[in-house]
Amino acid sequence: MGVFPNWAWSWPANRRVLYNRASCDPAGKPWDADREQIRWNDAAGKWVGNDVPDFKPDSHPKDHMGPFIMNPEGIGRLFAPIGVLADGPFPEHYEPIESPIKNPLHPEQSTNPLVKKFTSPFDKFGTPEEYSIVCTTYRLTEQYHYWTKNNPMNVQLIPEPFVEIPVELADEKGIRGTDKIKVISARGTYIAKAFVTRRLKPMIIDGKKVYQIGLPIHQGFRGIDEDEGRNARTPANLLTPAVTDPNAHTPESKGFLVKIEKA
Amino acid sequence: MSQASTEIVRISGHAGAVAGAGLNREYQVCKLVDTTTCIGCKACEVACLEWNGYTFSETSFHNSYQTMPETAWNYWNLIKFNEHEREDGSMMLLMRKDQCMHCEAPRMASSIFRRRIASVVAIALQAVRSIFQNSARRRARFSNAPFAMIAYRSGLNRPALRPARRAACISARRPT
Repeated sequence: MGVFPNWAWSWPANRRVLYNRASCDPAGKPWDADREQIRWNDAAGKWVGNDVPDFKPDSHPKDHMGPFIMNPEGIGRLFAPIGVLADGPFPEHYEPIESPIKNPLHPEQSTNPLVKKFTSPFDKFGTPEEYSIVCTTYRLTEQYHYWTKNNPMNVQLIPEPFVEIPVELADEKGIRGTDKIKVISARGTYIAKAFVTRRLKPMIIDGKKVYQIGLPIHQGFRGIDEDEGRNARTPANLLTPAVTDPNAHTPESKGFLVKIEKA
Repeated sequence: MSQASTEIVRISGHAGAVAGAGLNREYQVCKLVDTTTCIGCKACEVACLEWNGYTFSETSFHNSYQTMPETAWNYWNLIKFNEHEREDGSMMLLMRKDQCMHCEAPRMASSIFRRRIASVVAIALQAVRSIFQNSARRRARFSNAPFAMIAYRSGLNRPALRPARRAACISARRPT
């Protein structure tokens, strides 16, 4: 990081980076020699460098004066406003409601305790023992939500519903590209053709081999191909869980559990 | 825009004046394609169809994002999707635009092809349509088609040829 002390002037004392003692390790040596701000010169007994030290100039590193000189404790603080996030002042990692693993950070509280769950008979959840595959739903550039399956030009570009599955999973199940398959979650079934791809790779999560499959949401229910009986009338959202996060209230459609079989 | 309103540049195998030539010269457009910004939305495929007056044709899924395996006589602009492995082992999709490259100066209309096929009409900014008058001449190959975008297949005396191909053959496949 270049320091140009003769270019204009910055308050205070023409210092360019506040708390620049933090750019050095405890011994006073720059963390990154290419982007030196200041450093401790033992012979001179003071802090020197390109920038004006934001520090007591003769404080020896052995004295362990903290770089954040405006705080009594001398170290940085994390700041979070109260009441902005429903589930705590700081973000925390929780596993999805349906997850192939327990949260490695705190297995006893694997999922967010504040997610909103509905209680209808359709709001069932699957276990990783029965539903071992992670499913993600998404949209395609060729289609707009559920509208454009009524437009012949868009239907022509993506004529049939498909499910993207990894080559390795397809081999295990004996599925070939364009085979019709069923995707089953605890809540419903979706029928589409298999799109066998190398782009989705198996993952090792917490020591377990986990497959992820991808499912565009556009087809199903009614459209040109559906009305003519070419596509199944099973919308992708029959599979997804209706649980929402406590802050943005976004449903958990990017990570839920399914199993697949040949249709 | 329909085909009728586009400009005819040249007709091969035609001794006299070119009918309709120069009628529509006030506009001149060129097409620049930046493949690095392609996200594979295929809007250009649809735009090409609508510009040239072609409508919906039935397609089917074939284990790809690609609309169909090859360009067709009524489908001149096709984005080809290739799964590509990066050096670090991760995957990406490469999108390549396959389209008719014959704008104002089709090579096919000016060389050996002209002697074998009765008539080739070059339409500005669009593809070359070949109109055959004699079935024996259909044996000709489009050996000099640039970019292999427009190709003619041998053995076309066989009755299996689809009528559409008889009228105009545009395919990304190289002549065999």
